[in-house]
Amino acid sequence: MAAAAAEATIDGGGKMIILISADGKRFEVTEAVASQSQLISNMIEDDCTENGVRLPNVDGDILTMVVDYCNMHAGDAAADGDTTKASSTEELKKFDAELVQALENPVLFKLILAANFLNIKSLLDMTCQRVADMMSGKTPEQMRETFSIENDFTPEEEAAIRQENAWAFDD
Amino acid sequence: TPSLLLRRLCVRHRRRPKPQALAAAISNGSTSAMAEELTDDLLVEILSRVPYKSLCRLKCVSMRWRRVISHPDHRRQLPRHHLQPLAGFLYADYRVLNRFQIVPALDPPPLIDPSFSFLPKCDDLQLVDSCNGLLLCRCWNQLNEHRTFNYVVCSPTAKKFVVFPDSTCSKKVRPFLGFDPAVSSHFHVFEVVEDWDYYDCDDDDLECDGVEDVVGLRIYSSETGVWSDEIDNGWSNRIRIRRDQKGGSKSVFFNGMLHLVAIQPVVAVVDVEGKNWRTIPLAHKDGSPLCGAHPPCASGPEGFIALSRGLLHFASTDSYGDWEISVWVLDDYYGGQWTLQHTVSTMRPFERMMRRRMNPDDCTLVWIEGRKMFFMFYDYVHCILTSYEMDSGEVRCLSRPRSYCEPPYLPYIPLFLESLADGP
Repeated sequence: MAAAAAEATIDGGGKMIILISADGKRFEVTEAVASQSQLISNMIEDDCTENGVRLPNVDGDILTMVVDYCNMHAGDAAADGDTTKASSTEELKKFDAELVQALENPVLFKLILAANFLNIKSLLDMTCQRVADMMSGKTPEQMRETFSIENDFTPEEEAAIRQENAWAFDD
Repeated sequence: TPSLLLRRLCVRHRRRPKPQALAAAISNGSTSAMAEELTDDLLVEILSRVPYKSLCRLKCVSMRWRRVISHPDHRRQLPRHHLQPLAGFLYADYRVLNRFQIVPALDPPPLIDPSFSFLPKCDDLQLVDSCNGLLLCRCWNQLNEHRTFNYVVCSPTAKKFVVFPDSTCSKKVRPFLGFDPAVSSHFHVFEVVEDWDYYDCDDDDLECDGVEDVVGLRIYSSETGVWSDEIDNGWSNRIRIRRDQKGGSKSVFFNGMLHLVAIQPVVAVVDVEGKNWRTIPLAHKDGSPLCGAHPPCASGPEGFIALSRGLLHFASTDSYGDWEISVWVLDDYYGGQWTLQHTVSTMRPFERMMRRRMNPDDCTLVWIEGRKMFFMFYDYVHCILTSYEMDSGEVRCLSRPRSYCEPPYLPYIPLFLESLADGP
């Protein structure tokens, strides 16, 4: 992926920015692609992307996915008014759906943290919705198992809360 | 140039790696408790997308989750209620004190506890009004000894209630409930005070027919937990609110305003503070104002208003003996402009059904939802709920005839909510 992103330098004309992951992987992307991150967009405005943007909170694996996502969606933004947009929108939908379906925790949560840190609203919306969909209809036991959460209630406390919300457990 | 950039992006689309492969490669890593690493804000971001029922279950996951879900700072973002479509009509079974039944509009019929046993004990519980899933009841204890009762506002679905005590029984007062869960978890009770001469109507008989001029209004707010002082009538000089024989009261609460049909003929509108008063003239046909439904569409002149798809609807017959009912929509709420939406000869669609099942003495329009109207047929023993599709003209009986089913019928909408009157 990093290699694919680097190709873009050759004839774009758009300024390139280098993103550096926590584990030192480098990604070269256009400003248009990077600007989907509100964090980086602000940095571009402030002219402090000269020496690359270090993202100490984001692993290379996750940043690969983020860059891939931004590449796809920058196409969407740039294609505005273009006749190729219809198919591109279709393709984007498919890409998003596949990406989200394939995500499992803990990758999903890492991606949420990255989308939040980089401030990419559409990616945050999409990943949060995926987790919300996974939660819907689950019992608390299934929830704890799926998301590795420790039950720190005493049995009495848990019984009391269940009692309070008894209607929510009827099907 | 942009076109070059585009072309390059299109090429990249075709070459992109499969996301599944990527995700699989990465998820081989640690399976640490990542959900616990989310900040409260992010957890709320996720929980705000979960349906209310699931949210209530998730309170049982862990201490932290319960704290986050119940924290007052997060209330605005998280779903607070769960409102479902009309499930049917509640009525009091007149053979047994304090037993309530439902004429279902859905299959399977909604389950309710017919004795409302989740409520504190009442010697006599009386259904008064319903609004968006909440019910307003009068609870009488020590019958005939004291002239006071408690108002009870409750959701039979969520089994939640609020009691506010010691209202004095009076013929002069007609109560209406105002509740809009999309806006606030707080409700209001409006007591419209009428200018009854005490001798006209004995206070023992709360079901006295007829209406008098409105003189004032008292409003209870669940947010403050108190009744306002009586506020003078802010409408035009004379407003008489129609008394509906079948539905108790066909009031509509939305936009933070209570809407009532008056004889004048207008929709009388007042806000929850009794500060803004307004009247909207009812629809006109051939130069004359329409007043509401008349027999045989109703047992007496009745104003019918309903809220459907966010717009106020009004239904009317032209005059006595006219079997045609017209449905009007208030397209321009502030300009007061009504548009004719549909006209139906009320009896024709139902003829076959009636020949087969019952010979109704009465037929009342009880609900409008989208392009569907609901009529209740009643023959003094049985009642039957039917739906009528405005577009296709299709008529459906929604249940078998119910016995001992007497008006008023209150619309029942299942409402799941966390609590009632839980402070600002």
